[in-house]
Amino acid sequence: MTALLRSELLKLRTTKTALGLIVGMVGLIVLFTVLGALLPKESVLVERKNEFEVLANGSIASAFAAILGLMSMTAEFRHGTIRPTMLAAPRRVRVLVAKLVATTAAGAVLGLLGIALSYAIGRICLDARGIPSNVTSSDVRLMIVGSVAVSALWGAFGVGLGAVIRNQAGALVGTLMWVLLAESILFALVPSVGRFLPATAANVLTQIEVDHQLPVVAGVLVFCAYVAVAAVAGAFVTTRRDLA
Amino acid sequence: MPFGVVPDTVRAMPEPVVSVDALTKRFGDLVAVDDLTFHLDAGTVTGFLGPNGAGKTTTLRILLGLAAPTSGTAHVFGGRYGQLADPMRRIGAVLEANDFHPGRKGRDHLRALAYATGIPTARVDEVLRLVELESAARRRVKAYSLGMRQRLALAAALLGDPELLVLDEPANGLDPEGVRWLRDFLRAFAADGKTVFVSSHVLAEVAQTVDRVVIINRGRLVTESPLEELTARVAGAVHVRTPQRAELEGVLHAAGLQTTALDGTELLVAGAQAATIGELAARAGVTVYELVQESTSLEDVFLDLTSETHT
Repeated sequence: MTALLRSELLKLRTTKTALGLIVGMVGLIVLFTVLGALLPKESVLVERKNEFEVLANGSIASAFAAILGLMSMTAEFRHGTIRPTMLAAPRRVRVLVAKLVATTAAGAVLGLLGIALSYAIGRICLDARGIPSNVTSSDVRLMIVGSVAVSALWGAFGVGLGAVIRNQAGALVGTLMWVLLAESILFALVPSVGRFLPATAANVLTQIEVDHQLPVVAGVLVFCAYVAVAAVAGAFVTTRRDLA
Repeated sequence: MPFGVVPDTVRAMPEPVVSVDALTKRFGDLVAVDDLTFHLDAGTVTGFLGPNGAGKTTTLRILLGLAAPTSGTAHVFGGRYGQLADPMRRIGAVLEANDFHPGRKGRDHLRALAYATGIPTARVDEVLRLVELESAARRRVKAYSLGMRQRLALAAALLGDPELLVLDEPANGLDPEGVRWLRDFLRAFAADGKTVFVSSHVLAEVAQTVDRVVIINRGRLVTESPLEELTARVAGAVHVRTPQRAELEGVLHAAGLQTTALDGTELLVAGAQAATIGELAARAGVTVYELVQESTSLEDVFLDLTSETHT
């Protein structure tokens, strides 16, 4: 198992995919945090919810973790490397588990990098403007743990979804459309149902004071359940489908 | 005989390296492999032949555990591929020449496989040398030519120093130099007493490498035989033009030759030499206008075996 994990970690390091995602993520977080901390009026940013939002911009790392998970799985099908991979390790579930662990770890690293970046940049910008801070130390703990945990889980979620969907473009477009469009619309229209959707449930760890949001523990459990279902479904179809 | 004692006759029989038994694979209505049975012994070099779409690739993928059979079995070293403890150390396979991430360096592709199977990294550099790909090892695969990709795929297959090498159409897209390189390589591999199973839709590609052939068409076995048996079928036919066809036919039949009438004045005589027919005709006083020796090639025999009429 450690051998397969080493192999999967090496695969993540040896294409430009991860590097490209990190560069894109850092750029986006810096941009969002700087604009978020400098553009709004002081009266807006003294509110705890809004300050939290600026400092926690780094949790968009979870989107990049999801893309990394989706790509690491679907690239195997797209480029046919699934064949040599499975020839080397014919127990397919073990390969999937190694991939899940590798992308979970990679997601956690992205989440930590993202939140460290947005917290540091946001703090510097807000301090420079002399805006008093109103987030509590437990808020800061939540945003750090939240960004790391949500990004790690999204990495695993991506692998599970990728194993089921297989088609790289379809998996990426489908997932992003779902999260960015379908879920936001559903949550806005029917919040009582929408709050149980995966990305919205996961947001309990990255946003505060959102109306209709689930309690933190419930949101985490719901999201974990989605990840588990995707992983099991991925394992189920991977062991049954031909790799021809 | 007490339990547990294996009679000598059984022990002397080596277990086949590959056993395909009553293998069938259906994709919906399409029967890709149809009740196929054949066996490969250790140390043999076998060509797996048949036209495109005959079911060769499907058979190989089932054999390697990548696809599941509809019924029947395909075993390597006595069991399913997935049951082998460390398959890369026993079987090396080259299925597609392009199963690489284009953005990954050739050496990293091999390292990932070596890590997964606990093969030391030193072996990666060894196989890169073996397939003469050291100079390109640190370049990304997208910059590789088809021939280089074939060799990288072969390097991956050789990582575990396997006893059996399975190759699916390895000569596809290779230039003549590459084909010769591959042929020499396979011969050297087999010379170590190892087993090779190589598929092709062109007999000529593998005729100089293999000592046995398994020929399939439309998923069914056509023949499984030593190459010499196929070579023996390569016999000349003679095309004869004569105004006295009936008389000549009588003479030739009396000499034990088989003839096929083509039209009023033309005749095809199988398995004969032009000189023999000329002499027989002269002795019988039959006029002959034309005698043409037609040579059949090994490829003709192969095409004949796999042509529609034989299915």
